Amino acid sequence: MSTPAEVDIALGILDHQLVDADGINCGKVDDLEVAGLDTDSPEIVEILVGGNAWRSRGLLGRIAGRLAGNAVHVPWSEVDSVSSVVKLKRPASELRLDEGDRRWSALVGKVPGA
Amino acid sequence: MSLKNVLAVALGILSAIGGFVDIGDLVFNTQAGATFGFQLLWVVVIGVVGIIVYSEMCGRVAAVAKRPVFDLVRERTGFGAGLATLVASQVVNLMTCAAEIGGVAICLQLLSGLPYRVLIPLAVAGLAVASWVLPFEWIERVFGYLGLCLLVFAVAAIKLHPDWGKVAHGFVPGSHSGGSLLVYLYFVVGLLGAAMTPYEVYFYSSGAVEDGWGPKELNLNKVTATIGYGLGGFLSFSLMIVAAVLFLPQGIDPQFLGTPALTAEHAFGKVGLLLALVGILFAVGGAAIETCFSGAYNTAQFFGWRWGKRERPAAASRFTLAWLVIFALAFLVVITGYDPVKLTEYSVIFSVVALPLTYLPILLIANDHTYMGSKTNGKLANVFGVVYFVVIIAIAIAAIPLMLVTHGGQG
Amino acid sequence: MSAPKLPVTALGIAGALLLAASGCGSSTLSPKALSQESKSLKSLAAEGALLARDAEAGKSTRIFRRVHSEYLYKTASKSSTSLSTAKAAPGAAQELQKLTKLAGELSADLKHLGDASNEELPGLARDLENVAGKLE
Repeated sequence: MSTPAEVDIALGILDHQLVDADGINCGKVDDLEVAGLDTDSPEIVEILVGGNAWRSRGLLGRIAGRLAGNAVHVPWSEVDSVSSVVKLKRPASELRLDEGDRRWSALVGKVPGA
Repeated sequence: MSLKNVLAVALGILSAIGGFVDIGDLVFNTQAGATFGFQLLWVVVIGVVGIIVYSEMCGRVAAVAKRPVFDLVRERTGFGAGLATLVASQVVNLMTCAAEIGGVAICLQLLSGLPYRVLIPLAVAGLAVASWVLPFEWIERVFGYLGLCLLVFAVAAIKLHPDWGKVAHGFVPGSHSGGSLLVYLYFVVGLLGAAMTPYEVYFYSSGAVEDGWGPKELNLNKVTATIGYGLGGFLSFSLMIVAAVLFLPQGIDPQFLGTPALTAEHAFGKVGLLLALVGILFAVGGAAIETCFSGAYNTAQFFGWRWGKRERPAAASRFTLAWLVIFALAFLVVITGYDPVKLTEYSVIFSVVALPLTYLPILLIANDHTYMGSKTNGKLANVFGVVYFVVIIAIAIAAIPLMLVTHGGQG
Repeated sequence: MSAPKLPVTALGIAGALLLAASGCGSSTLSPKALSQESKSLKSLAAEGALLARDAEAGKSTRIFRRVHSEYLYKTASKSSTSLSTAKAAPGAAQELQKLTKLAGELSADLKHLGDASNEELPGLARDLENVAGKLE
């Protein structure tokens, strides 16, 4: 359950930086899933990161979203604190938010000194 | 201030001076001098002050918000505007990077005599290896200090005995006496664009975060930006002055990268020539790396990826790939054989068109309390920031029409 | 003419004008274009002369002289070729003839500058200065 204040914050954190428990960048808040907006107690369900989360972000977002894969869903319960960045409770790897860098890490790692 | 601090500041200033000039400054300042003599010196002053004002803002954002300016563009201006800024700055960035790489290859050719086509992949490989192997501060230092060889132009400017009265007159704003007004205005736009390139301020901002700046570095930021870029401006003056003395009377129109070097050669012989070529090589090479990394920083920061030379390349793998891909794309542009000097002219004009989009977020973020706390722009910074923003809009609108009407400054 | 045909005709005329303006086919050089060409050739000649004088005084390196003069030569040679196949606008025929001849001399001199021996440099410098002097 989220308070109205929390929902305000949530809508204000769109496009903000996500940072995991170790302080490492793991994407931006690309979209939000909010339930019950038309009721007295709207609830932030989850944060969507990456991929086709951009579909709802205007024309450019739709084009970008079409080129990308599936978004990662991060339940709101995973959020530790909200300041100028959104800090999560767990490391990125546990939330599947590190897949982007991991996917390319093997290729980049082939160069000596990587 | 301890000796260690003074040394650190001095070194920072030195590398800012050496890193100030890039191929855009070289081409436009030399051509301006050869076409209008000293009449455009005042424009360089305006350009230098402009970049000092905006660099100081970017450095302050980095030191206080602990995040580079571009990192904040998306959350401050939204996804659509942020993406538009990213795309526009990437296109211009790529053109600029390609022009700088072409410049490096030409310099290597003038020094070694090896064929240009062979030197292009060598130049790219050399820059990529340097970027991969050297830590961030070392890249700044190596290219910055060796870029100081460009001081040969300052000494040449003195040795060639310009009419100092006329030189002084050239600093009076709007001093235009003879020659096509439209071509004059084209050079005003080009010189401002060459001095205030966006990649420089974005790189400066990300670099400050890489260097771990905090509120303690706020004064260092002001000093480095002001003195470093200020003295860097003297190099631009020198380029214009030597061209005015040696090229204008002879009707020489500088079309080649080797042409400016003739002035140092004429003044000091072989030593002057070699210093000029080495200076150009490292100033332009450093700029190639800066443009490439600026593009990678912007991309990673827009999408929220891990970024930075501090990280292991494989850990921030998408950031690493971004700068490698930018070098590769720039290489493809250069290998087409398109004249780097002409490419430079286009890249400077196009970056002028993109200037408002790239500078507005800086002004907004530097005034935003949520990021800056109590360190938002003071009255002075805002007056300058807004005045310059108006200037930027004016030149952005005028840039392409002037380029077309004057056929790229040919008249 | 019925309405739908008008835009097509207009497009056709516009297209033909564009083609003519872009100089498709053999180029006809107006006095203004010739003056531009003359300025450009003079610039190359003057720059070549400067390089030659510096080389004569031992101020340049062999490599720089070879590479830079080659850039000058390539540009001059391109001008020379396009001038020799160009047509002059009425009244500009004599000027075109003069420029074509000078462009040819200039190209030859610049090509020679690349690997000229030290003894040949003063003569080359003089030649280039002469060419520059004849152009305005």
